[in-house]
Amino acid sequence: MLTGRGSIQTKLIVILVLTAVATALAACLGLAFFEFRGFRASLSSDMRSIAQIVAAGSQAALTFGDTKAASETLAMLKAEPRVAAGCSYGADGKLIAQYVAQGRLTCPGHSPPFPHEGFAADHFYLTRPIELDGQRIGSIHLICSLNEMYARLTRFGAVAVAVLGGSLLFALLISTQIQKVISHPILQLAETVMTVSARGDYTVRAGKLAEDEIGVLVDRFNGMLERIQAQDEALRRAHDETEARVVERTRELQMEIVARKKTQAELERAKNAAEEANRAKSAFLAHMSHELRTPLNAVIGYSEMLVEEGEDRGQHWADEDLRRIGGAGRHLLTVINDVLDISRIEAGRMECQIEPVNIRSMIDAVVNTAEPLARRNGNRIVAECRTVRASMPADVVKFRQSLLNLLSNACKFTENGSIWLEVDETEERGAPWLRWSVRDTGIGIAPAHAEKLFRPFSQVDSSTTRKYGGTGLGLAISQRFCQLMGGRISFESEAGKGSTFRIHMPAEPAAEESGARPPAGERD
Amino acid sequence: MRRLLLVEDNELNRDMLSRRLKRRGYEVLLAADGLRGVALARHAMPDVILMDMSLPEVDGWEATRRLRADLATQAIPVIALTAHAMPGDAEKAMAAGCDDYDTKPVELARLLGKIDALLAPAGPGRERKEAGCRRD
Repeated sequence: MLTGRGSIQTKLIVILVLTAVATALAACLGLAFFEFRGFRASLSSDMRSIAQIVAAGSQAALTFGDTKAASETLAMLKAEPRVAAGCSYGADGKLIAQYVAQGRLTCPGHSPPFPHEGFAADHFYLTRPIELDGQRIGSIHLICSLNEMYARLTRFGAVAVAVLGGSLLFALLISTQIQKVISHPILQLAETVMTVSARGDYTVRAGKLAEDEIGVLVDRFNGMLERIQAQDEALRRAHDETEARVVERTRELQMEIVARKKTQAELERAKNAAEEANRAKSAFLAHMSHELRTPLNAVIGYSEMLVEEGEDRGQHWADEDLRRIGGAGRHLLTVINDVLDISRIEAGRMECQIEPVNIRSMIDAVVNTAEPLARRNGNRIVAECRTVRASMPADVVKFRQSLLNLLSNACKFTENGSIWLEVDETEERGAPWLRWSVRDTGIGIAPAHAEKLFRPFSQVDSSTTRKYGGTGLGLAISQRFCQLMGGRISFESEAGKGSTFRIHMPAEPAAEESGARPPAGERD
Repeated sequence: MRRLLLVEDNELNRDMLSRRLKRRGYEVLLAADGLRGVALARHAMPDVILMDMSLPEVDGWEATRRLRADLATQAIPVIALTAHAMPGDAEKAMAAGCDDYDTKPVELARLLGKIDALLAPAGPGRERKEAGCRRD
């Protein structure tokens, strides 16, 4: 009961009651013991006095063997109710007289040994000698009933039981109140704990009722609650902040998504518009090209035909003018082709087919093509190849067009001079490059005009166009072509002394060089 | 005499080119649209056809496809002769079944070279083209 189930109140009550009852019981038992001992001591002391008196009184009767007197002496014992029997014995030990009060206790027939006394179960006995002048003349034997003692003990026991019962009730009454001193704070603490754990409310505090160990416990518990409450609040704050941040961020993201979708839609529209515009531009260019070529075909064709037919008839007076018409037509064709090239380059639609180009074949081809042009101005072309390489990576059509452009420029702007075409090997950024130099002894270029050189439609001045022809697109196109192939064109010149234009090209295919790759072009 | 068929809708170009070709000894038949071009080819069996691409009635690409689909005309070499000179136009003409492609303005020497190449007996170009026709 004290260690198992049951409330602390019950346990405290049981402890207190048990303690009280045990104390009372111990007190009663102690008292009973001392009462018993005292009763016995006083009984034996009283009996010894009585025996002495009776012995003294019996001296004469025994001396004279007077039985009657002896009986009378014994009869005095009637005054003492505790004495159950008195017996007188002679010197020989034989019973002379006896007094029997009541009951079953009688004198033994022969004198018991003396001096002797002791307690039997229900009586006290005592034997004393009767002496006269130091001589034993007989003995006296008293028997005393213990009934009174037992009666007293019984009464005592009843009182003890009553006292125990009373003290039990009293202890119960007191302990029920007193246990609250201990149990109340504990129960209150327990209740607080229940409240906290049931509601998760860490703001509750346990009440402190005393400065004892439970008080300390309550203090500690409250301290713990305070820390938990602080942590709980911190957690809640953190959680709230996080939640707020998540909400905020979600809103931002949603706005961002909306904005991005809008941007994407706008980009899509812009892209579609740009593609549409590009398609329209391509279609326009294709259409323009077609529509210009058809009448040009007639212009050039008829002018050539008239020369042929005049030859058949032996008439040559119009030949020169007809050739001018044809030349103008062909010039217009060049302009058309150049404009198409430039617009394709600027639209990023120019494709490049990089493949090994044979260097010697290229030199022969361009020199052959440029030869008539050179002769027209009284120039000679000198070609020199100073590389052992057989080929280089390039777009053969674009490279030939670029190189031819440089050569025909040199022929155009030089009179009665020389034009050198030299190919040699150089090195750039640790890689082998080829340098195609076209050097002339022509009019040269003033430094002021140098920077306009590679811009579309920018011949050095308009008088140049009138005198030398050309569209002003050739160098711009050649430069862009060479850049598409991973190379470039450079030049140096001195006005009046001549110019040197150089095409620089990588001598070996570039593994990862993006410049050497053709840009994505249109597919018809 | 070698017989050429020139299918061309532009009167000036038709006149000019036919006169120049005749001067060089070719017999030149003329057609002004694709439909008549195909009919004339079937009827006259020319040695080479010079086919403009932008033609009324039936355009040059479709006319070439019809020539190729017809057993009678499928072996006649066709040279696309067109002012369509943008990248891809040559491929487009070859895909329709043309044997060669040349742009306007015509450079006569270049065109004559192409005609001669196709007229050369048992040229590799013919073999390839016949193989291509069966594929169609």
